[in-house]
Amino acid sequence: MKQIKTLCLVLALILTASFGFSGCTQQTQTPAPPPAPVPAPAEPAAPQEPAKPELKYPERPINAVVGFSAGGPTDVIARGIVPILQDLVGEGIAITNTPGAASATAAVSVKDAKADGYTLFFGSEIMSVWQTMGTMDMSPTRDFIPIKLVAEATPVLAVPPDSKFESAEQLIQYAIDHPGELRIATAGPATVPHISGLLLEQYVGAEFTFVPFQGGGPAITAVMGSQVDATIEMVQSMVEAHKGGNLKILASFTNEPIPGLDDIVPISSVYPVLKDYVPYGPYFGLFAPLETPDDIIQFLKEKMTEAMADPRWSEYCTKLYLTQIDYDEEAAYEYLEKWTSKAAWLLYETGAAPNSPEDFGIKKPE
Amino acid sequence: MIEFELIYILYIFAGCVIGLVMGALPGLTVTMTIVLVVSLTFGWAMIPALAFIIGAFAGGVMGGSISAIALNIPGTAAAVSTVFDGYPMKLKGEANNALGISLFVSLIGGIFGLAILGLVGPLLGKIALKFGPQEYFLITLWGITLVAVLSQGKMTKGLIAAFIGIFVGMIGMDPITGLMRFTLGSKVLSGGINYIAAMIGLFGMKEVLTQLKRSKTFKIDENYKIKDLFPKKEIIKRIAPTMTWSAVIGWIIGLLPGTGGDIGSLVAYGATKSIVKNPNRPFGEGSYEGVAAPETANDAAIGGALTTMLTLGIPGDSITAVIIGAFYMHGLLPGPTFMITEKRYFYYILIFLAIGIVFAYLSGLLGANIMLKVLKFPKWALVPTITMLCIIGSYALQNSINDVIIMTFFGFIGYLFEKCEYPVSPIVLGIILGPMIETNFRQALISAGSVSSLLMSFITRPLALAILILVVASFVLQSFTVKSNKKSEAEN
Repeated sequence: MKQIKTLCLVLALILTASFGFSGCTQQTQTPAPPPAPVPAPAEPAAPQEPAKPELKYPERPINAVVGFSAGGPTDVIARGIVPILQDLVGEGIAITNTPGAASATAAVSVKDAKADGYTLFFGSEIMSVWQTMGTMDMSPTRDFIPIKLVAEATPVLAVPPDSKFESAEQLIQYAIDHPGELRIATAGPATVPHISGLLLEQYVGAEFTFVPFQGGGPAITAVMGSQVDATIEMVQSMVEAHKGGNLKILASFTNEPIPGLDDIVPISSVYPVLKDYVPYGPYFGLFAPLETPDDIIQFLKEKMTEAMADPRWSEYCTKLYLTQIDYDEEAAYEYLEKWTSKAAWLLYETGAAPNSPEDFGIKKPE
Repeated sequence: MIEFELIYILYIFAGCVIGLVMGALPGLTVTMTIVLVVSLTFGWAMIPALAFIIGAFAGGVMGGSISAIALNIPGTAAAVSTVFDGYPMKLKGEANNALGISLFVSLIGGIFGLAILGLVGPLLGKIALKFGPQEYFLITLWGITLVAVLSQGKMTKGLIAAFIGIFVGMIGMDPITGLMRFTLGSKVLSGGINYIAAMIGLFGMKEVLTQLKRSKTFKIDENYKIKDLFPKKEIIKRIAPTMTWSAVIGWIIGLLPGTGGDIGSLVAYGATKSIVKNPNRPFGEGSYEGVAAPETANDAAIGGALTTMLTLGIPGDSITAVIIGAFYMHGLLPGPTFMITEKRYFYYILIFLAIGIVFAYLSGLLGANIMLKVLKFPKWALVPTITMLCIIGSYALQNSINDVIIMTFFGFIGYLFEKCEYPVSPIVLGIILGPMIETNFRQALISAGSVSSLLMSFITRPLALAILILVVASFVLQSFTVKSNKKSEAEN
């Protein structure tokens, strides 16, 4: 009898523990004490709506889904802004990593979830290429509501430390003269590094062989070990290696030098023709399922605006060389549509994407 | 420069226990444990956070093998090859020996990895960069030859199982072009088949289904005491040589970015099988060497992976990738210069890991002891518990119900396979290695430009050539062993 009792106890303990642990993998930080009243930035006097019913949100923890594994760029950026937002909304916001299928798996789970504001999607630029790449017929503007776009990263062009190329011009000129000879490591098909390389092909006339790796890390490793001739990756992942002489960053895909890294040449100063196409970095932002009630969207938008005004966020961005952006509502739709159309058409016209953007009503950029 | 506070020890210990428990629960991988721990420590200072993270790392790797041996469910991917011999050992009534060996060699392997990291790590770190797609292709190709031993004499059936595994590994997004393959337009398949979900199904769920069929209960009559978990002298003597090469292999594979303890333990297992001619039992049926090799390797891999992280600032495996993410979250950019300018992190990690490995061993002994007691429970209690663990574990992998569906499906597949006397381990091998072989081959092919220059590059690249020679040598050696075995059998 006693044995059975102990047995039941142990079983119950194991089950509780395992539930607990599996629950814990979704990071839930203890809800912070109610935030100190932050002096709200004086908003431009928008016509105040007549007293609306009080919003009962959030009443329980919110789940923010990231479509990539922990430690990746999207995850790192989500974990920079979400804790600040969490302090402001007064409820826990858990970050759940659901990697797979270029984050489409995560997006589908959010899209199919109840649109009550408790399931949100922290998305990135890969959303813009799902349709043309045939990943999933989903678009960031048609199937989601962009609450706020928060940051952009800057892609840069880098070569191995012992490379014969000293400047971006030399490298690109070589690629024009010897089509297909230079191998560029990318973080995978249809990622920003790939698209940035295609920009050089389309508008400058260079021709590369793209070697897709499983994410930015392996691509950088490949260039550090001279396995390839060059790579395009985000500046924050390579700047330390650049300073340590493990690789050389030749140019950034921007019009202006990156603040703090003045020795890196902006690509459009070498090729003015690219002026209209850069800066062209990946975007990151918070999205909600389409049917989410408008007052919740408004609430989150306001809280996000506050969170982004927090010095912790700007400090975080500076340290990681991220460009802070702040787009919501119309501006966000416009930004996303422009981004999507550029990427989709570029991928389609260079033969990397199987589906025509036209089929999805994506307009051709002027 | 280095201030050591006693409270760090507490953090390491707490991390260790969390790691051990999570590692022992199937489906909760070490990577996931680290993610959890990293997010818990978000608001902490970097050093205590590091203590906590490193403790969890050491504990998690140690924990994975406990459930592999006791329940036939590898707690983590790095413990897959522990199942091959560990579970048969348990069935033969040697659960205590299997657990004892696995914990002991983990300790030694971990310390070895750490010692190399501390002594020559900075010099060797750069080797990692010399490995390109060609080399990875050859290493993973070598790994797939394990099918031969996992088939246990049923070569054709083993090959069929391996090909099914490779096919399953192709489902999902094509790594090179980004297009969808074999998903039949279904959302469940669009993310591909997670090999850990498949593994939990094929080992854990299959076991549940088999047990349901049988009326007999798990048979453990022996009463173990904790001192039975210390391996006996003659066993240590027997496995000592195996440990030496397994530790080296584990360390090197851990060093390579993109491969960690999972591949390291598979390769060490394969190497051991081709070197050791007279295991106490044939491999796959409960040989001591078969448990010692993967367990030494997956702990030695910790030191290797950390070497790459510390000297180059790039992750040596998926776990160090998360740790690097933690540095980012604390606003620090890890990289080669970072480790020179902030050398204290290097020493902190060394010290924390040394303490962590010893703690993990001690708490592992206690954990294994509890596990042995749990195994004595009647079947009506154990079978539902294992089922629950399988479901929770597969869900927790990616927080996705898809993985539970996949897990259950593979449970039935595993059951059917066993009924028809097909080995299931080659399927897992195929799912893990198939995509790596394919991706690296295609990357190498794209880089080389043509098939002929690709073939040439296998010979002109020094490292590739060295690995190629090793692969060929192991083939020759094995066929030789098989022949002489047959001969001696005939003589008997």
